[in-house]
Amino acid sequence: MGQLQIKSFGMIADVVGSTYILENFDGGDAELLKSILCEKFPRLSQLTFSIAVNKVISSEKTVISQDDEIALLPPFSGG
Amino acid sequence: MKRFLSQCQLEGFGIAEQQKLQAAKVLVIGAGGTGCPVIQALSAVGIGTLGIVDADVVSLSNLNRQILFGINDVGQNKVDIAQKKIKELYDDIEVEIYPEFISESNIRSIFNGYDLVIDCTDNFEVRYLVSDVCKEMQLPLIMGAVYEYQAQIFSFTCRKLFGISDFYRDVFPEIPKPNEVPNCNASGVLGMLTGIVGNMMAFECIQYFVSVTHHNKLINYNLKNGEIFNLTIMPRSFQDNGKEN
Repeated sequence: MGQLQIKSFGMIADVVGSTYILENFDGGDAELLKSILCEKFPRLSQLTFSIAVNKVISSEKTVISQDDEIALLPPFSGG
Repeated sequence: MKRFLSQCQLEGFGIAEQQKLQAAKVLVIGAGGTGCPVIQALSAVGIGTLGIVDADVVSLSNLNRQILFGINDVGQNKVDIAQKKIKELYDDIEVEIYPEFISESNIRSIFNGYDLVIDCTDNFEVRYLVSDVCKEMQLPLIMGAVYEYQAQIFSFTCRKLFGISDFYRDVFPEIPKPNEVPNCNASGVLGMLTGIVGNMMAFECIQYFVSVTHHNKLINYNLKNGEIFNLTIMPRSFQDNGKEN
């Protein structure tokens, strides 16, 4: 079991914090990570966000391991 | 050409690159917080033809960030003022204006003939429509948006990905729910941020014309701590296999 470092932006950072360390992450895909985070932070399930793995925008099937750098990105609206 | 002497002295940016900019036709959608600095920067750098789309009039609350406009412009059409001011500043830029909002009925005819589109709008309905039609017409697209002190700049300008990229939907496949994401009126905005973002968007635009872009990207910028976080955007069909496509 290891740690996963998660960086968040915009409204997601308002919920999770701009940096968050997820303990006891044993690997899995982005969909699993999303469900773990939504369980810890129920507000997240109401929000749209994308997951980046090692600075590449990823799909829900992307495999994540403990050393990966994760970022959570919501869409911004203002212009 | 003397007007552009300073930038032509930069390494990798000479007379040939300047001529590419002068031959370029760029469409800016929205003359608001990010649109104003985009228009100013692209006019100054010598983009040959600028199209500007916006049906709004200038309001008093625009003036903290939309620095093309002043107190005497309140109530007037944004595109009329923008065209007038750019023509006063430079005599070598064509400015085409469209005093209308982008919609399904006019988008293709407005986009026709432009080389690149810059989305400076502030609502998701238009943003997804612009993205989808740019994909359909194989038009490179640059987008920018802000939230409080943070900004996102998207560059969908990689030629080799045209036809397989879903543009904005590569990052956010589905449109957010109504009222899920606040706009500037709800979350607040500083002109310093939209000014920086607009100039970054303008730079992404000239990059497309003067150099080879190797991937689509998302730049996250935080005004408060100066942090920039760059991300690569792969087409959805490439994302499943993971990290190092």
